[in-house]
Amino acid sequence: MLLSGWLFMGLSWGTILALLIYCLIRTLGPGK
Amino acid sequence: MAREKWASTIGVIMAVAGSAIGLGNFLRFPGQVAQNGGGAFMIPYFVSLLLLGLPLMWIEWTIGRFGGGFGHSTAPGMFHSMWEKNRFIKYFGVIGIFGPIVIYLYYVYIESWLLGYSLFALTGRYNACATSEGMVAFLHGYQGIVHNEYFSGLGTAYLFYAVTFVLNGLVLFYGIHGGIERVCKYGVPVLLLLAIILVVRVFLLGTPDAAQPENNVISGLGYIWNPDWSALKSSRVWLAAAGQVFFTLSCGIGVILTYASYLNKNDDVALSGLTAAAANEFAEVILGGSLVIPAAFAFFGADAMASIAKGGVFNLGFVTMPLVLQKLAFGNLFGFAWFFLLFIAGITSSISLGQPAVAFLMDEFNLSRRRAVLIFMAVTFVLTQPAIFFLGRGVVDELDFWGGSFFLVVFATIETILFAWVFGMDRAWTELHAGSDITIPRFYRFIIKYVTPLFLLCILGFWLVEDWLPVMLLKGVSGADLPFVLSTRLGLVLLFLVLMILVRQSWKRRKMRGEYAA
Repeated sequence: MLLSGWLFMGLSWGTILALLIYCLIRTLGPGK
Repeated sequence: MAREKWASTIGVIMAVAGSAIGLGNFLRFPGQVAQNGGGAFMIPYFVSLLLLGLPLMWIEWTIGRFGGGFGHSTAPGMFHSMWEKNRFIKYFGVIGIFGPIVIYLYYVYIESWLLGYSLFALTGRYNACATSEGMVAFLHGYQGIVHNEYFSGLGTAYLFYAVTFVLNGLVLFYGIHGGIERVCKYGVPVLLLLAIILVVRVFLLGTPDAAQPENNVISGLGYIWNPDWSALKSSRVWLAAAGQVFFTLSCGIGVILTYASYLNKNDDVALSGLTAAAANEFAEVILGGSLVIPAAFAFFGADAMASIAKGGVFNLGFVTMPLVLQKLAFGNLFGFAWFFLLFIAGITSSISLGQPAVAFLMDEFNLSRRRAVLIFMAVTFVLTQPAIFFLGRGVVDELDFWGGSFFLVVFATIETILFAWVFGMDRAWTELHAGSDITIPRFYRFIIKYVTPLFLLCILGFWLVEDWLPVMLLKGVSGADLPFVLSTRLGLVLLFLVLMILVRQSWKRRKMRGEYAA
């Protein structure tokens, strides 16, 4: 796999994981 | 009759995520990425998610909760509540009941194959099929397309269909909280867990055949993710990305409207819509992108991948993946995990497809849930028979075209214009933020009002000219299949007309009771 492939995979995964974690913390976090 | 409600926020998020996470996440997405520029495909994909997917999620969640406040769980009543002066808008809402019914007719049958294959995997029934040709023969025998050494008729397939059909009916019968919410609250985490187990196993494959070191999982990931920059210049790639985002989120069907209608007036929709979309993206990009294609690449290599990726969704799911998994230690268990996760993905989607019609009968004709579910089951059981017995004659393709493609984009375009332009952006924005746990950036006002409708109109126009007109004009349908395809089309026209008449009857009844002035 090329470096650019790793970059795209990492950025895509990172963006989605960050969004999901943010949403879950806001939905299920303290005070919910 | 007291209106049903969700018991928890996470319950409705799981239900919407369960509706969105389907076969497309695990089978369609990786093929689309590999065929449309690899990693570069993710640029139009994320652009489409921001400009089309998320706005549509918010629009549908908001319209659904708004309509639910008037006692409507389906689009005809919701559209009427949003534009009371227009006598005809409720008939456009019929698409939001028609579409889910049409998809339900073939979806439950395909879902039943997954249940059947889960058990075949456990019992090793397809283990004798060591080649693609053998696995295709097994599938065609099961579908009743050919009689062979594996199956002598449709009996087995019909048995699994009957079980799946009854299971769907039972979940619908137990209602929003007792049936749908409960199944999705446990089903979605289980399917994600099964997918994570399979992804870990695929990543541990390394290089399965030491004699062919180039065939390995990392190269398989490269097959998906290495960018082809020239793809970004192709309008087809941008449309493919927009289509993938559109179809994966279950937008334009009408099911999100119905699910959101069971929220309370001040329940959040902005964060919930975003969370459901994020869960769907997790299942699609991270899990779906790490399963079938990397595994197939590791075993079959680059040369075979082109035909495997182009072979379509069913080939990947029912032929390639079982072939790969049966080569592993405990292959039967991994095969079961694969098909059972798809079955859960299927049932959490199919129950969402059944709910709009059931809700319509309950809301507009004051039927009990029991009677509404029985009527729905009787009608869909009869209408599914052509899809089962004439599978190879173009019936399912015809149902999928109208229910699963054409009307989705039409419906999404109508509801977006209605929301942003008729209901009005000021009211829409206030409604979207009522009870909201997050504040959506203000530039989304501009996106929802101008960019999303324009995006949808472009997709609609392009697909109509490039892809849909030949299908509408029956180009490529063989003479032998023509009577089956035409009969299906006629049946769909009749179904649409019946639904329009039912809407008209319901409004007449409400008018007589003095509920509507016009």
